Amino acid sequence: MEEKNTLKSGFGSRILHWIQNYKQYIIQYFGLIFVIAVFLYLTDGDLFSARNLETLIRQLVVILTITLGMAFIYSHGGMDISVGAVVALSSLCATYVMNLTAGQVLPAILVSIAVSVTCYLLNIIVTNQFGLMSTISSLSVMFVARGIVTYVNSMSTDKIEVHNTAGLELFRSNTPFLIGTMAVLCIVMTVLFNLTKLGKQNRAIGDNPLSAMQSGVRVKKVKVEAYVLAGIMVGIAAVFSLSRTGSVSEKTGSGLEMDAIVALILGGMALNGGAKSRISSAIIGSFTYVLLNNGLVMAGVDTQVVSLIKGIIFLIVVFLTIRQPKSKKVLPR
Amino acid sequence: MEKDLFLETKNLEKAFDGIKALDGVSLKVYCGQIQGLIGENGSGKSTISSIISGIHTATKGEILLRGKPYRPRSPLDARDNRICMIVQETGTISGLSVADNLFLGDEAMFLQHGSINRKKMQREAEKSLEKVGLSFDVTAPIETLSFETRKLVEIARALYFDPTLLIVDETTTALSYEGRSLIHKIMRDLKEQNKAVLFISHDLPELMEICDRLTVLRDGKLISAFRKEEFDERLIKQTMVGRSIQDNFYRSDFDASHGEKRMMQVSHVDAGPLKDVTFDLHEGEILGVGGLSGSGMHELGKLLYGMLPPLRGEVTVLQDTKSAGGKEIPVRVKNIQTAMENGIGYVSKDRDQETLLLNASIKDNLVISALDKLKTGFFILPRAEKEFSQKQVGSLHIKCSGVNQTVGELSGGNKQKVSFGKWIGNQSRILILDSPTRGVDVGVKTTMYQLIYQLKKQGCAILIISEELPELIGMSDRVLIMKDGCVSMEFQRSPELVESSIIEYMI
Repeated sequence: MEEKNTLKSGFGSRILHWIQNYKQYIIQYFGLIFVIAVFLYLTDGDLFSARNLETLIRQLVVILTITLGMAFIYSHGGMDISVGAVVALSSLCATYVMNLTAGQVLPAILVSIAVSVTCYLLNIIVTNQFGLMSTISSLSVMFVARGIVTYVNSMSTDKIEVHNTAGLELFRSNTPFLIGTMAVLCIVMTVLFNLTKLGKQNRAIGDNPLSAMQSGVRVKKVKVEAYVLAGIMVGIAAVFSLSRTGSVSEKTGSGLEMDAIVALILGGMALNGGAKSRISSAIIGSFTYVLLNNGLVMAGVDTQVVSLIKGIIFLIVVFLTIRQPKSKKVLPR
Repeated sequence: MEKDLFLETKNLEKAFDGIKALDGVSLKVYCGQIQGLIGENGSGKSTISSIISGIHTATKGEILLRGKPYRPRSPLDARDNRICMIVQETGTISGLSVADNLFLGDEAMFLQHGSINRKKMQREAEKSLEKVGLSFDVTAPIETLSFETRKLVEIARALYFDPTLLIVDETTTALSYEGRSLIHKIMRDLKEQNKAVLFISHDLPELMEICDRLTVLRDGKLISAFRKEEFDERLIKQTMVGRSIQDNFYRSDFDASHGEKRMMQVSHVDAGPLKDVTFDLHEGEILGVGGLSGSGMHELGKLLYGMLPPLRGEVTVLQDTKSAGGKEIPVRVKNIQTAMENGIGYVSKDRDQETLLLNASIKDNLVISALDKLKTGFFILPRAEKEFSQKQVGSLHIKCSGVNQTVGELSGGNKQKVSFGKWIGNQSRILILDSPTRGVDVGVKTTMYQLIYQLKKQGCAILIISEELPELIGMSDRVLIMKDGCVSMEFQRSPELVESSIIEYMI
């Protein structure tokens, strides 16, 4: 019967229906294309000049690595605002390890990941044990991590920096390596998200924790797994971030948490998680966000205004994605 | 005697996203009469009531209220016209007191020198509760009341505004026997006072008992209207589904035999409201559990599924042969995971909130409880998921546009089939079904019963928890009746078993 009625209702409403169903995809790809088009025009094509492409890739690698991990947290309905501070703390520890081991990179990477995973474990254990909102416990983790970094900085007379940066060179400016890493991370995370129990159970929790639980999902355990995964990714991101600056200050990584959220939303991520969450939100969103950031600066927009413009775009996207069409919500059974 | 016409709809139409939910319905509601409305899921019953009560607006057509055009823009607007509705879902807000809930949005009535006169509000609240025969502390938070009492508070709220037309939308399905009779009494009282009632329900016997007129909707169209003297259960059912169905849709045999294997054993368990419960569930047996809503029967289901830990006593399940290497030993049900590993499946009474992922696709819903069975190494391949879900959709005849359709868009019956499919698909040997036909229409009920019977024949052990006694009598090999957390009586399947002989053990 439904089929017949749909046919009756004509072409126009079918298009509307289609738009409604694929809204997330439309925002996702349209946003990216729009940003590319506008800034290519405004910068006379300089946006994609060889030099700027390298800059873009260096900016992209940090934010993409973070959002790929965050996607798992978002998909089960969690949210995290401690990324920036955790990146700072991981970078700090990695710096010390590098200085102690005369510029060895591998131990630094492992320590960075370990520190980050510890922060995220703390975060989810507090959330699980006290039934707190994940945002709030991540707020406390943020303050603790940022506090340690600020304290250590204030105690140190010299600037905290990596003495021997030769090992970090690969992570800083070797474009093929950066592209390769991003590609591998994207593939691995996409597979984990779409083809494994971890990804599927996280999305089920995002839809309805009670139903997921009654279908045999160990809700708390699965959330912990998502946070560990996110911790690993943030630890890797911290290494990329450190290799760009070579030093750690109390400002390191600040604002990254918001960058990650905005990137995910620009990519069409469902903020409440669930079945509609997709890993491509992280990938496309990161591209859009980096292009937007870079393009605004290249187009000669004052740095003072950039933040304001980002805020307005954020509002528009939230308005388009979060607002539910009325008729769909109240359709009686 | 012809009564006064209160409300009349003329060729009412309503479309959602281009899909017609209501197609030219002309309905008349008279003062001093209880007008029944019945139809399968998705037939438009709820749509028409929400248009009359101002929740939706009609796409086409008009409504006449005492002969004058009436187009409510909001439920408040409808209330000003003395039309109130009670909905199926909860309409109260936790955290507020009973009195606050009763006068939510109308606090201004008690305004005195810029602040609310609490005393006066509480007095009025007590008065309005008295009208429905309740009396308790109105300052208590509403969540301390049972679901049933909360429903009655909603009714008190509606009646406080002295409606000329009260719409009761499937409210009684969730209530116990006592709650139902109270609502029936309220409706009859209204009728006595020459008020109109529009009563929407799935329960045909209930409607036939209460209503003066009965209108049948199907696919958004008004199919036929009956007067009290024309009521005929079989004919009405036929009209509802549009084809003739058998008078008796339960199983027809009285062969109560089942396998010897004891699939689950419950011995001397205390848990939650349950006190010293002991019984066995056998292979190929349909065990019915009945009682009033506070009797602990719903908790019994949760106990068997490992969600409610026993304080005393033991719940064991026969270990799945595959994992025990051929030996079958009883193991304790510690949690949901041990329950699932040993082939127990559970469908909650609150299907939408506890069993299904409404925003996810049919496929996602079906595979979520079978992920381990679908794994190829570490991965769950899309092809395996698709094959698995298409098999379930096919064998259960789930009406859908495809396995990728969102479950929330399905009708109640098809949703229930999906929740059955979750457990049939992962080869459960024991099914615990809490109120399996709640909110499901006659047509789907028949399919459900056939399915349950088939599963029994395949050797599944099935526990049906239900508030509908005819269903328990019609389907079970054995019926346990619960009262105050204890098993008060046990009945074997027999043609002589009737409702009246069971009821005395429930109350």
